[in-house]
Amino acid sequence: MSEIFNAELVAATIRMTAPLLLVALGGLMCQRAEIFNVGLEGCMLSGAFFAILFIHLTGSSFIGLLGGIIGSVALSLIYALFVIRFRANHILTSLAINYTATGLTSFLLLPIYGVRGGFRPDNMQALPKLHIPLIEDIPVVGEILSGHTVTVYLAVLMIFVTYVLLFKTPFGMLVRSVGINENAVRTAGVKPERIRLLVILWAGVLCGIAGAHLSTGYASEFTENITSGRGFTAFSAIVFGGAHPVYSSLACLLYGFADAVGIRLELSGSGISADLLKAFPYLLAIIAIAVSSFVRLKRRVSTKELF
Amino acid sequence: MKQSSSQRWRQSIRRNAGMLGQRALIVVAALLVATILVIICGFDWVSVFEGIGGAIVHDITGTLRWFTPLLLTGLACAIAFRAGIWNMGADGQLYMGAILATAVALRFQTLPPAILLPLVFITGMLAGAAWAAIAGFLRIYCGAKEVVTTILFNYVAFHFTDFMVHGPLKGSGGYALSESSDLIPESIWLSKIIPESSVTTGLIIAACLVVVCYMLTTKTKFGYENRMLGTNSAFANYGGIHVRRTYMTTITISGAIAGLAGVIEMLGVHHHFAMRFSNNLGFDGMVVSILANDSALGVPISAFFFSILRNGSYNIERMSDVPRTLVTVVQALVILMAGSKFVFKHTNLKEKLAGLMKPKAAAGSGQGESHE
Repeated sequence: MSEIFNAELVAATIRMTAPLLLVALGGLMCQRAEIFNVGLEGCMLSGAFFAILFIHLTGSSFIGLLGGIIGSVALSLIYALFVIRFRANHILTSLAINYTATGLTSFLLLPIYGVRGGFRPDNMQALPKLHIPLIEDIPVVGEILSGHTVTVYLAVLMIFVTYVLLFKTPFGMLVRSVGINENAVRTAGVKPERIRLLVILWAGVLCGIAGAHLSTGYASEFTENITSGRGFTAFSAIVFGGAHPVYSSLACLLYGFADAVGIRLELSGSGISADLLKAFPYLLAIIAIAVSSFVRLKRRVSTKELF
Repeated sequence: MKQSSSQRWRQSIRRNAGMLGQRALIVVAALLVATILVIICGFDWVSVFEGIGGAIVHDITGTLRWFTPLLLTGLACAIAFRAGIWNMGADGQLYMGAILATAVALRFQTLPPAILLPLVFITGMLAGAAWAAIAGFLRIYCGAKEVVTTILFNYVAFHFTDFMVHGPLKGSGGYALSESSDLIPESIWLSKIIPESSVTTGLIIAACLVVVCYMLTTKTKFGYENRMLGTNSAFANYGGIHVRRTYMTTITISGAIAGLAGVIEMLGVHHHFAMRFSNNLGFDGMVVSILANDSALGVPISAFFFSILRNGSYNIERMSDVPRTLVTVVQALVILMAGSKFVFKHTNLKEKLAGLMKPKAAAGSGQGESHE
């Protein structure tokens, strides 16, 4: 057991959680503004692709990160255009965004790099790892807290940023108000469309960072469907946490932990089936969503009908 | 005034023709954008159309092979979508149907085919139905949105079936290496209706199901309730429709059809459970349904189009270097355009032109006045 549950496991959990965290924190702002954005997965994939493209072109990992953000925001803009301007169905548009990302990133591999399936640039420069001076030297704590990619620290920082943004600023109040009563916001002289646009773009930025983290910090290459459903997992974390930054982050941590333990158990060759373990986080998510929805349903059953 | 039946027919034909034309426009636009993409990327666009054309001209059986499962998953999604139920889990339901059907077929292979075959079909459909019904149950009694849970149930189904072919259903000999179950007894394979192809009696079953679904959605009380639920659930509730029951029935039927798709794929084409054989049939079923505007009669047309694309995509990759994922881009474009009903419904071209003219006319007259 000690070869599975050690400091390295905690560090792995943090690494696994970071991309989920970024996506969830972006997505929960959308959720608060009554925007049902399941297109996070596609935005993240696009971010991962463009991060590699920009590194390939410039050789700089930070420009790669910027490229990832651009790629993701571009898709978010399309999403925003259809959802806000054309009043298209949120779920259908999300679906289209995901299909676009899957199709285009896989299709463009060939004309851009001349390869199929995946690409690793020759001048690959991974995102720098941050070594915190004093903490690094403490035996166990140093191993856990220090030496992660910068995006990991950014993700943790984003929990506080999102919390403050959502609950302590006028903008956050507008976001929440748009979700609760759109017309009240309109009466107050603010265009809900504008708030929604900003929120979608903000989610795009965070998804772009998450995607760039996956392809340049976590894997250092782009492979087809590198996100492998992480966007959906993050989305379920949002629902699980009731679109609250802290609770949703805890949900992400839970998924990250289950992921990390799963990989470890698979490698250690214990009798537990790796396939069933991989299904475990999803089952957990379903149960968690069911329970949290149930609690919320009981609480507000008098004000809001189920159908 | 009561309409005569011929008037009603004419009206319905006109409405359907309008919808058909609009959808054809979407398809043409999507193909056009994809072609431009192919040209920009420096590929040979002629070979793309040769590949797609070849799917109809030279290889119609290959197209029909894909037509069957897409028809079924398309129907499964259409039934759910028109009730406003976002069943994104057709893939998972298909897998659960196929894996349990395989398990039953292998476990009871000594039974006579006349008993085993119906047993396999019923198991598969029940498994798909149950898998969907869990999500429905969670929605109704816990308020957990089905659009999230069905996606998650997909992943559970993927990993569960992986586990089955790695463990309990692991095949022997060559099938052990290829991550699949053993072959099911040949006596219950679906017979081919076109020799030397993968077109089986499954196509006939699917075609019958189209008729059944059409009758169910347009001629029965359930069809009306199903539609009302999708149009305005609050009104449906107010109007005395048993919303929960309709919801459960709909999602269960949807799951059963998806499960059936899995059974027919397994019995007709693969004859064993190969790991992750579906290759997005469930998600493609959603696109089929979206293009068909969730209508049971539209699904065959839409499914046929996508099966041409799917079969054609294999041709394209064989004949040129254009990646097959081009089809995914076309699908994305179709969803984007077909999904934004607003573009077509509320922006009537005439009204829009009139709207454009008005301010201009007003400005023009204003200018005229100032000149005078």
